[in-house]
Amino acid sequence: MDMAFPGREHANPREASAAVNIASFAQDVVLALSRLLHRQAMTERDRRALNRCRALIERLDAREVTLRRPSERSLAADAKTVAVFRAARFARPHRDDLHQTMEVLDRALGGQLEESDLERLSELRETFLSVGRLNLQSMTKHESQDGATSGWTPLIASSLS
Amino acid sequence: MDAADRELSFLAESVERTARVQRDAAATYLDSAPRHGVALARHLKGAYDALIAHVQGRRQEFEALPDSEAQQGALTEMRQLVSGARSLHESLSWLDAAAAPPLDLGTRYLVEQMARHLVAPNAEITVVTTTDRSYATVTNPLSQVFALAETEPSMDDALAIVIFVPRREQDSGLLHPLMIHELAHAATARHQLVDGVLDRGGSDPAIERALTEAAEADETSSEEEREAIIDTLRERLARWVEETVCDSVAAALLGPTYLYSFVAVVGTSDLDTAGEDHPSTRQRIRVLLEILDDLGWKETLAGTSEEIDSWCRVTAAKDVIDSDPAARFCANALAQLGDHVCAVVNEHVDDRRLSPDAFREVSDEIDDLLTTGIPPAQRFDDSPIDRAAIILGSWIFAMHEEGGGLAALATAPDVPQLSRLLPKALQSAELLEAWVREKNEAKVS
Repeated sequence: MDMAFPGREHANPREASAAVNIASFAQDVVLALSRLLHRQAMTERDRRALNRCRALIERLDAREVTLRRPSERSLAADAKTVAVFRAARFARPHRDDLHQTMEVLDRALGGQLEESDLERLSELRETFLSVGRLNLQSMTKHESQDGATSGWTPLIASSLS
Repeated sequence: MDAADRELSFLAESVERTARVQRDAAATYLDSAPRHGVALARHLKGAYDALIAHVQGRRQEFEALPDSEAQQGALTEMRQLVSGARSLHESLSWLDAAAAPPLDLGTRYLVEQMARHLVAPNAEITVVTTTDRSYATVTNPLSQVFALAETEPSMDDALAIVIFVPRREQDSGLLHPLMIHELAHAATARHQLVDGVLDRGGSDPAIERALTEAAEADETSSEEEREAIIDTLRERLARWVEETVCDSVAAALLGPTYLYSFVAVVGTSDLDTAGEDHPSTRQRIRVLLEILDDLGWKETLAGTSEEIDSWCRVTAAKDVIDSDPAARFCANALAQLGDHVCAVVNEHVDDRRLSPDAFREVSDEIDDLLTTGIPPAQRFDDSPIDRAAIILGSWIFAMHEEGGGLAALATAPDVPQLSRLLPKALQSAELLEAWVREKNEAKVS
């Protein structure tokens, strides 16, 4: 086995830890949006999830071209979240306008949701359902690449080909 | 109970069982009143407790979910949690390593001392030997699992740092300096050293222009895709800066030792293939030579081995332009940030670096002691020898034993005397330093 320095990134336990966090975050957002779509009261956890979701969208919507974004460095651990969210958006048949989505989230968080906002919230929920699915696919691929989780994986894969 | 309930129950039980087994291993370890790895075991136990509590909360709310989409999301989440929990299985081997540390005592003392200086006084190191990766490190490895319970490890808690060392190199004392690069990763996270570099040099208009140009290299990309490319480039450059900071910290602290250890392991790779996380080997050698020359090591490098010095300088001087625009941008930007890297590293390392003058003063004594088979821990005037000097003196001794040419970098770690003398010297030097400290404190009081 190649012993480059440093080692493979995906083997780093921090990657697995981050993937668990993304799974939870994606479902928190799905839950919060589901409650909004059904006009149910939001919990404190829902509000935190939507605020984090808004920060994520704001980061994607930024048009600033610079390396120096100190406010964003605290989101460094979220680099993977950004990548998965972006991939989920690119996989959608049409992409929503990020700025308008942030406005809808602001209204939702301020208790000012309008009937016309529901469609956009529904689209956002679809995107976060995709985030979960993509994250799961990525974790499954890593497992099979590492070959440590299941010795059956290569055998099953070859039997399918 | 409908089909979705049953599926969720199956998946949730699978996560809980996995997390519980791994949590119990940490709890059992803590019950044994261990001398090492206490912070690590607490960290693991806390993270698995958070995961179990999170899953239990999800189970309770499942029946009340408002629609089938929310339920589908919950099932997908649970599958991810099973996968994640099982991927963290390797944490059990970290506890095994904490219980029976794989490194010699002298090296452990050195790494712990460096961790206190570089990272934090309460940094706890667990070294794990592994056959599935190279040298690597992770600090508070499960902190993002902690976040599930909306609690993070407190800054006051001891930092749990895990360093991975290839099993093959467990006894290669001359390669252990690569662990100082790994410790520097923990330091960059703790002290925001990468942000320090980007804050100083990241607003350089030339770099920003190059970033835009690199993102626009593909004319067919949409505006949103261009934003994605910029984000990717920014993250990649930040990772390259981190690797360079870590190389520079290790070189500043250890002098030529780090260059020798680095070239012995990394110098055999493709010199011009850059990675997602690190610059090309050629660029890294170039940076190392620049920092060592700046610190006054040029003469020592040339005097130790003309052949190695010449190979490094010829390798570093060759200008190879990467055909990948992303790698090209990162390579150029990194070169432009070089002065800022040096400034940040020098501030962080402060006065703890090994100086060429300090080394010259003891180098002959180290060589004499090694030649006569005595661990070079103590000077002829009874004072302890600086441990960074001990390792550099040992490298030079071993390379001369092996002929002094480039190939000696490959074989020096196996010079027989060193496997006994170097660990003993590092261990004795630590004890002598402690004794001198106590004596001085007693004088003061």
